[in-house]
Amino acid sequence: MDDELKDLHQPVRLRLMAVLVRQHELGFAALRDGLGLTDGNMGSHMARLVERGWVTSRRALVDSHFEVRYTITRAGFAVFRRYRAWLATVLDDEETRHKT
Amino acid sequence: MAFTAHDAALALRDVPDVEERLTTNVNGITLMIWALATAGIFLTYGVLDLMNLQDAENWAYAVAWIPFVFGGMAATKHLWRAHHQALNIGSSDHRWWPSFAVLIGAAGAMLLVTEVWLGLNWGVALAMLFANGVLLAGFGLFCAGHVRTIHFAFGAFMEVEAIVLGILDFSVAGQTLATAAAALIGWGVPGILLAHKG
Repeated sequence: MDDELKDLHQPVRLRLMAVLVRQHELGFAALRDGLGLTDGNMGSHMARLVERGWVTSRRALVDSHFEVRYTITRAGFAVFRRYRAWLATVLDDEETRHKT
Repeated sequence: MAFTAHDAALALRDVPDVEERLTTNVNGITLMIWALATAGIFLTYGVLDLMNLQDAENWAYAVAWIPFVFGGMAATKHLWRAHHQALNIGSSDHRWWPSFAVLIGAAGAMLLVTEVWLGLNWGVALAMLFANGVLLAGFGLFCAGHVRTIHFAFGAFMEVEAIVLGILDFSVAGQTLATAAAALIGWGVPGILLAHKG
């Protein structure tokens, strides 16, 4: 597993990315409440995803108040696809080992 | 403890629940809004009954429901719009109009059965309480699993409550408090359960 995949192979970051792959864009509160995270936990992991260039953040006016919204980038989609391929390979290998 | 490939697979499998979880939460808050609105309507009409209004003041009966229903609709619309924006999905506002048609239809049917066919003098309040039960149970048809069960159970609670109150024949004040409490429990408790679950 390379550095990029190692960075993604973390429970909170993986779930954040999986939700964003599905929804493309979400607000801070929806992500936090949907995944049952605290503000601090969510903020620190999201900062890592933004730093990696997998997610972009912007402040948007939603129903008369500003909220931070996160959007997955092309690089984000690409790394998630690679991660899923890696995961499938690992799980397949484990299954094969179990059978033999 | 290390995060294994199996843990990762499980984490990914849980992800589609996020949208459902947030929607269930908003569903619960919607029911709580309507618990307050319907209890407010029952209390207001009960107070109007107790005031023994003169004929000239009967217009109050025609408009007393408006602030509650429009307040509830505005709060519900705002809540769901914020939810759709948060999830970045399209909005669907059309289901409220069929809901009111069901409510009025069920109340009318209940009045027809109890007053015209059975000759009972149960009045509009109990018919509306029964109709609220039909409406809540009807919403359950669009849900799945435990959410559906909760809708059915509390819908049935309001229907049974309406029938029991009709049999007990309370005073106006007693019936007012009983119908308001039944509406508050019937809409509010499933609301709290769903919002908590979400």
